[in-house]
Amino acid sequence: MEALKLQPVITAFSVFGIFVCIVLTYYALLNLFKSFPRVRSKKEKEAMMDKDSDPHHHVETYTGEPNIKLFWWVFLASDCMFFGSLITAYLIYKGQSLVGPYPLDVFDMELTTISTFILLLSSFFMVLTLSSIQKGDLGKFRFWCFSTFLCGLTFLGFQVYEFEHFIHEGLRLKTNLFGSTFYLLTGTHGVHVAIGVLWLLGMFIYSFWGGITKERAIEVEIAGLYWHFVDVVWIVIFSVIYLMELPIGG
Amino acid sequence: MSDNKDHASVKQYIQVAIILALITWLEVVMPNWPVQWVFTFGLLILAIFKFIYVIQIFMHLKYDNKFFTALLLFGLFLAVGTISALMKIYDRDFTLPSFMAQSMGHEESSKDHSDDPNEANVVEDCDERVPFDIEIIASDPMNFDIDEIVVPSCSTITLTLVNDSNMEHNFVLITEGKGNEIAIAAVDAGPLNNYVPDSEDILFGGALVKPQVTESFIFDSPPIGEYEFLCTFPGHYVFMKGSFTVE
Repeated sequence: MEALKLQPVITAFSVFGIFVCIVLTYYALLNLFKSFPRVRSKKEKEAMMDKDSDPHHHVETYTGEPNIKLFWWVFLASDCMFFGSLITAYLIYKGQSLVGPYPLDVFDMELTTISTFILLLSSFFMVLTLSSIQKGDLGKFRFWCFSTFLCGLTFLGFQVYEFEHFIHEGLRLKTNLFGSTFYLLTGTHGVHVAIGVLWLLGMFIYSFWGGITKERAIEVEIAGLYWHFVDVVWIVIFSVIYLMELPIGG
Repeated sequence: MSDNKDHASVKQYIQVAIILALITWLEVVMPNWPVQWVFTFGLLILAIFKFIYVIQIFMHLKYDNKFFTALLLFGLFLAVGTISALMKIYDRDFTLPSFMAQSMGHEESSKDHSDDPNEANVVEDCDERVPFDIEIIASDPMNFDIDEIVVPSCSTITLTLVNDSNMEHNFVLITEGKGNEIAIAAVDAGPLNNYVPDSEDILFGGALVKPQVTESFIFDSPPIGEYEFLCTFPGHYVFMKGSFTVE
């Protein structure tokens, strides 16, 4: 059977995508600059005066969006590349290990499926957290924020259990290529989750000190962005690392 | 902007969460379908679908400034490009069958011992063949107990490979002086091909023998001359090789 080569297609697609993004970014910036002319008409100045008297309006920036949000999206975009390289390292050395244990010897699919569900659930709780603070409901915010925190902590617990189980089976960072690349990838993801868990706990405590209000919902929003991104990365890792290892027809 | 258009409603969030859970369930159940490419492509498509769903609704890119979408896509495309380029540099094509084979190798390799593909493709014409037995023991660390095998011409060789080690080994008979070349090609051949590359220099390529397992292979002796044998499991060639003489 003639093997289907996907590489040229994927490379061409991503190069094309990069160009499309450059064009999109260019037009987006052009649009944004257009909406902030240096010389403003009298009417616009009056409109701005009205805006200033409105306490809910965001600080005016060049992009029209809060800078902190822009920063986090740039960070997440760069994190894509970070995880991309780690996933590639895993794929390049897949099946190249000289000694066991091999992936199928150690993976416990049911356990990982449960922890994946929990992380997905935490993402759902996170949107409810944001939704409640945007409505100004502090009580609900605390409840959902703490639920998200607990889910994140449970996921971490599963990962610690999994790592300990793997090490017990004889798979260490230095055992084989599978061990090195697997621990590096899932460990890095685990560190991301751990940072997110600390962030959620911080927000939960901060809300009792009056730091989280409806007006400062942006703080919760960026925490949410980070948390969902960690979830999204796990979706990819779960499919590429765990599920593709499954024997077919079993 | 009004509050309703800014982000999805709670009801919508619940719907998305249920759909995401269902997709994950589907992904886990899917290996029960016996078609390989459906499995690989299905997984990739479902993962991409989940990915898009989360960033569109949960991270509300759908309702946000399109600038953020462009920003994330920019990073994503750079990441995909990096992955693709790295795979090319390390010569790991996204060739679908072997892509799957990489993960399947350890389980499947032992099944096809009887009808090995490379069985004696250069055989001397003989009127009659005499049986000849060889036993070779592989032990830790990466060691064959003999480095010289002499067989009579016009014989049918029964080679018993005793794997007394903790690694997988195989027995491959090749033309003299091609060892290095074959050992390098073997890495790319991968575990599904028992690390036996497709080469004219291979006279017999045996299947991988699992640790603490003994397997017998039967093949006809090649014409009179000097040959070489080795284990083509990646990295083993350095220690596990020897001369094979037909006289």
